[in-house]
Amino acid sequence: MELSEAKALINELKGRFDSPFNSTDKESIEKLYLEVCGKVFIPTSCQNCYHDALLEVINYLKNHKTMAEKSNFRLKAGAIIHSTAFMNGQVFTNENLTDEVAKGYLNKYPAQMVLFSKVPEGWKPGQKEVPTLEEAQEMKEKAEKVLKGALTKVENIQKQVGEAKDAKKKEKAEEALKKAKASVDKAQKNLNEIDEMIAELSSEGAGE
Amino acid sequence: MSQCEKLIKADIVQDCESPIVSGLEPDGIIINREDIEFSETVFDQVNKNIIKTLILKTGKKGFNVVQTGNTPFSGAKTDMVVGTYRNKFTNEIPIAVLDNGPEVCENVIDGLANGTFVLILKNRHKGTDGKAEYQVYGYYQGLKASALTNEKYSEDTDGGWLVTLQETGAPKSALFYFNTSSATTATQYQTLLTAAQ
Repeated sequence: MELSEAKALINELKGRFDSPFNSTDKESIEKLYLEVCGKVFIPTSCQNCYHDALLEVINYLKNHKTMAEKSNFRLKAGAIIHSTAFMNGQVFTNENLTDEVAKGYLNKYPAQMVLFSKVPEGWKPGQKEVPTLEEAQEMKEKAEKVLKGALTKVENIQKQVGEAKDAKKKEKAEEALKKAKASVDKAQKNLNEIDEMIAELSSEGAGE
Repeated sequence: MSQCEKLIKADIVQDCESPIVSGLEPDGIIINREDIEFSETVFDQVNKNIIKTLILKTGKKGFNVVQTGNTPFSGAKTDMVVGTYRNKFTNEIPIAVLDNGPEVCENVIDGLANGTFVLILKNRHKGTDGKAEYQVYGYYQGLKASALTNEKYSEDTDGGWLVTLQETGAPKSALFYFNTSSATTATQYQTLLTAAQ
């Protein structure tokens, strides 16, 4: 459900707010509650709980200006993620499920795919993640910063080596310089890999 | 294995730590039996009278059943029925639908009249660690309506409907719904009410 659809539905329901909601309206409110607030609406025997839920939905949009972030994974009704060997036995339902949690769980327990009603198209447990071009460019920016930092560190240590007055200090600085140079090599290698990935993603994009 | 069910495995004593109390909580969940993913049901490894996980098919959900009054689901009972080779159990759950009209008849009553259901009710008696709280009816044979009445001058239902759901031939005396702890079970139970698209 898109934000505009949610708003239209809210306006429609507002028009019937002063009378009891029928079963179709109640279903719409349950759906809105899940889509907008990201929580499951639990109806009770109270008289006004659907009216209260609609008010909560309206207030959520007023305060957040957007709908709750949704995971690309959905568990079937009755299914939860709960294993003592996964994230300290924390319990996950559709209300607090994130893509990272779902992927982590399914990578560890691929047979549990049966618990899910929705997984991103083409996604399989254990599959290597391919970033988008935008994500790869963000990665490049970060990698460049890391490389710049490593190069600055090398320059500083080189100065220390030159200024070292006794042999012990010089030896220590040279050891640090060796490590710093290794960091530069690693950062450069990472940057090269990202550059290759960007080139590949760009050519794929151009081919489409 | 075939001998196991004919043997008792513990003393017959009263649980002084968690004394039994009668009755049911006023709410439960009713599920169309055909919406259950039976192949994915997980039973407790040690106690086969406990269902750890009950999964519904994609897009399916359970529905709340809420009863009012001091004795919700009054008349709910399980009876053993003597069989030729093996004794079985009959579960009977009366549900009052305190409403009448085209919507409730289309969405609830007609379905109850002809469908087959699984019902999870909450015992007032929770037992040690909450293991006795949630009891499942209709898992094996399904609950079907054995009586459905709309008595216009009934003082009990005020002109609403009274349905009795019955499961016959259940192989086990009772099935419980429990996963790890009371809190985890409560969370899992609530997820039955929302269809996953």
